[in-house]
Parts: sequence; structure tokens; C-alpha cells
Amino acid sequence: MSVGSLENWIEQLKKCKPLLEEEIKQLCSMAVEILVKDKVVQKVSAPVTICGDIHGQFHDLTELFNVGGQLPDTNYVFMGDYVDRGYYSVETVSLIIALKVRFPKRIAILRGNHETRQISQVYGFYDECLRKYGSANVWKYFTDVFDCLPLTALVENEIICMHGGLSPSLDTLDHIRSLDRFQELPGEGPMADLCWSDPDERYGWGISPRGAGYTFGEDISEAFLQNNGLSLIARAHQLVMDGYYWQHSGRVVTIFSAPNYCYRCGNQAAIMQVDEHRKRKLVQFDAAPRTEPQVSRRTPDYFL
Amino acid sequence: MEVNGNRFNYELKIVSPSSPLLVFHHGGGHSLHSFTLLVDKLNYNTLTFDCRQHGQTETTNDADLSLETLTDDLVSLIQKLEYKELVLIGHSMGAPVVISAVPRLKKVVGVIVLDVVEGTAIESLGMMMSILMRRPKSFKSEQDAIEWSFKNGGKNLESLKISVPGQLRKVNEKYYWRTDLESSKSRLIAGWFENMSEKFLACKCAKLLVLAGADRLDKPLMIGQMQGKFQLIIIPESGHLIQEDVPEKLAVIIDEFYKRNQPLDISKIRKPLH
Repeated sequence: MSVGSLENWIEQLKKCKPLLEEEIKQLCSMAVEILVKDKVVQKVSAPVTICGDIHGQFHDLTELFNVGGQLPDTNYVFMGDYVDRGYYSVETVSLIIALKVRFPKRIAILRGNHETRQISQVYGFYDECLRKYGSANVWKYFTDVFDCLPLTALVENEIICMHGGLSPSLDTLDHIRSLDRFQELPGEGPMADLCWSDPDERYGWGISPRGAGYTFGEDISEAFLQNNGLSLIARAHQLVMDGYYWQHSGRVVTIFSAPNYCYRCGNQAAIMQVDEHRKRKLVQFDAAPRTEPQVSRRTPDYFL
Repeated sequence: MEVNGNRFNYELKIVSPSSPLLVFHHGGGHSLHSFTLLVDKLNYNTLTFDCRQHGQTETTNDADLSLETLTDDLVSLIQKLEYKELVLIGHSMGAPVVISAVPRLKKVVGVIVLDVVEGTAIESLGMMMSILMRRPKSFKSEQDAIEWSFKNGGKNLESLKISVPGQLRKVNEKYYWRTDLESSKSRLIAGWFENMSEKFLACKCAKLLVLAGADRLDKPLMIGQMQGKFQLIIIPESGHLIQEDVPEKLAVIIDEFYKRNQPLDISKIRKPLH
């Protein structure tokens, strides 16, 4: 595989044109080779731009790169949830994986709770693969890649990034490093917690209303940061109307990068830029102007 | 059970004094038998009943199907019973009723909504009304009604055999629908669902929404779900009658939902690392 044809794929994907099934197969096997070398706690240097959920909103991902800068000039950490809900999960995840393969040192791509077989089968990605390729093969290639995604990124030994949040089973970075991540995301346990947990105003650990992961209070965030010599937890997973949201006295920031989520939530999106002096800046952006395809929502056959 | 001069047909199953009481409210036109298979598979104390103008319940004002009255009925019934904890489960039109009852009852630990969302329900009101109008007015036999129901949404024949007779009433050798849903003014029906999403999100207990399709969330629920305010489970292989189509699966979901929302024991949630 030459760099030239990889460049061609990226150019094509940037126009929101999906690759052929055979090309996806090739791309995914290259991605696996690269991703298995990434660590569970993937080290990242500043300057870097940290991004949250995308959910198949391809045109907004394009807008994100316009606002944040193109690779390889800008380094990126994506904190998962590339697929499901939006209309272009295939193009979105293809582009993000292709960029990872092309610039492996410039972009870290973490696993979100939607990068799993169980969730992506129900929330749109599977159906989209079937619709666009006529079979589930492409979905299988992608989900094999998902099994290799790192769970966290560590920016300059200061900022820990993960999709969801902390886990009652993981007190230290070494605990996280000891996880065997190469598998379908389990429904519970430490791997699931990293992808599912949410910060909360209540102290201590709490039952998550989501039915997976836990909620964690400011005392938990403070202890984790202190034990590991860190200053910030950057995570995604929750829709926040301004695109970012500070909690736990500045110890936790939520970053959500899908503007007007699911084409109806009316929220702004944001990314966090960390410059070479480790100064942090949150940049908001709105949904890109475009015409979405007329995908008619199935009206339920119910009621009463 | 007698409440305010009304006689409610009900089934109370007690398996253990320590079990929470699960209370089920069926949807429009249905009866307590919609939950028969599900309840059989649950090792919990359960209450199912026929609501006003449904099944074998007889009230002094059967015509009043307003949300307020249905909620009063449910609250009054539950208050006649002793229980340790409550979980309320509402299917379809039963969902707004249980949601409205939550703030009025003590010891509610969970509320479960089965396949209804305010936004999509109100959006498809017109279509629903025309579906209702096209229903046959009567059947020659219960068997005919069961077959019709199997062709029109129900996926589990075993369940329909139990639930459909409860929806019928025999008059002069013919079987008519027990409940006159056609004349329920669409404004009344819209009233059942108004603000249901906000009221659901405002419930202080654990919340679970079980849907038969992923694309049914309205804006408040989409935001609530993406903020982690409630649990959402999608069962694509089920039709609208989730409790009848996939009773085994729903029984497991309800059991896990109750257990997961027990007070946390920190020593138990720490998982050993390799």
C-alpha cells in the first residue's frame, strides 16, 4: 500500500464518498497493525486538539477540521463515538481511521461506548453499513478495528483523556495499563466504566442512570488526579449545550463535538486546544450548513 | 378491589415479603392479560389490573379516560396495598399514567416506560386514529380476533391467545372491542402524552425506557439520553407489544434494572484486575 493511494482515499473520503468494500478491508487491516502498537494509555504531546463525540455527522467533522486545523499540521485526540445516530457513520469512521493510518503519530483515536458490536448494531451503524455495502462485512471489519482502540490518552503527563470517565476498579494509570483491551467492550467492569461513566455533583461513586458505568463525584476526581500527578480529566460522552462543560472545580471538562446533535438537539460543539505551553483554549463551533438526505424516520406503528 | 365505588379487576401475585411490588399499567384497549406471560417469568410481587373502561373493570363513569382520572385510579389502588418498594411499569398509554403517579406515591424506586415517546406519539396521532377507524368493529369468534391481531402487529401468538380475549366483549354471539377507543377524542389522547418526556425526566427514581426502535426519541429524550439521565434499551426484534412479543427478554431486563439500582456497595463494585 503506497502513501499515494492512501492519500487518494483520504481525498475521496473528505468529499464524503465512501470507499469500496475491498478498500475498507485493506484500510482496516492496516489500522489494526498500527493500533495494536498504541498503548492502553496512549501518550500524546502538546500542542494537540482534543475532540469529543462525532456520531456520523460528517459535515460537522469537516467543519471541526476547518476550525481546528488540518492534519498533519494539527495534532488530534479523538475521544470516541465516531459512529451511530448520524447519517454518515461509514464516511466519518473511514476518514478518521484513514487519517490514523496516514499520520499515526499525529492523531490518537480512543474507543467510545458506541465503538462496540452490541451498541453499533442497534443505534444505526450496522444498518448504514448494510445499506451502503449490501452486507455486514464492512461492519465486521470496522468492529475488529474497534477492539484495538486505546481507552485513554495522556497529554504531557497532565491531562488524562477518555470517553466516559473513571472506574472504581482503576485508581492509577498503571491499573489502566494492565487492562487487556483487545476485545469487545464488556457490559461491565473497568473497561466499560472508562467508556460509560459520568461525573456527578454528588460525592463518591453512584449508580449510573444509564445502566452502565458509574457516576463519580469531585472527591473521586480529586483523588485520581492527585494519586497520578495529573491536573485534568478531559472526557466526552455527554451532550452539553455549549459544547464544553467544566465540573468538579475545574478538574473535569466534558467536550462534545457533534453540533445540533442528531439534527435536532440545538447544541453547540467544541474542541479543546492545548498549545505548546500547555495553555488550554476551548473553541466552539456550530453545525455546518448542508442539506441532509431525506431519510424518512419510520413512524412507529404503535400506540395506545 | 373496590375503590371509590368502582370495582377493579386485578391480579396480585406475592412471591416474597421482601420483594418490591411491580405495578403494571396496560395500554389503551388492552387488559391485564397483556402482562400475563411476562409476570409468569418474574420472580417478584406483581400487581396487574384492568384500568377504567377496560377488561372486566366496572366503574361509575367508564367514559372518563382522562389522564387525571386514570392516575387517581392507579394511586388509589396502590395505596390499598402494603409494599416495601415500588417499581411502576407502563406500556404505551399506560406510561403517562405511571409517570404521573410517581410523585404521588411513596417508596418508588423505579419507573419503566414500554415503547412510547411523547414526540412521536403526538406526531403520528392522525395515523393512529385512522388505524383505529379501520379496525374491524366486531369478530365472529375470539379466534378470528386473535388471528386479526397476529396480522396487525402482535408477533407472539401464544401471548395473543391469552391477551386478545381480554380486549373483547361478547354481545349477541358477536365479539366487540371492550373499549371504545374510536370515540376517545384525539384531543383527549394527545392530552395523555403532553409533557410526558419532561415528566419522565423529572422522576426522582431510576428510569428505564424500552423501545422497539432506535429512531423514536423526541428532542427532550434525545438530550436526556445523551446526558445520561436515564437508561435506554432498544429491542429491534420486538413490535410495539414488547411485553407480549419478548416476555422472557423483558423479564430479564426488569430484573437487572431493579438489581442494578440497589444501593451501591463499594466493596462489590471494585473488580479485580489481572
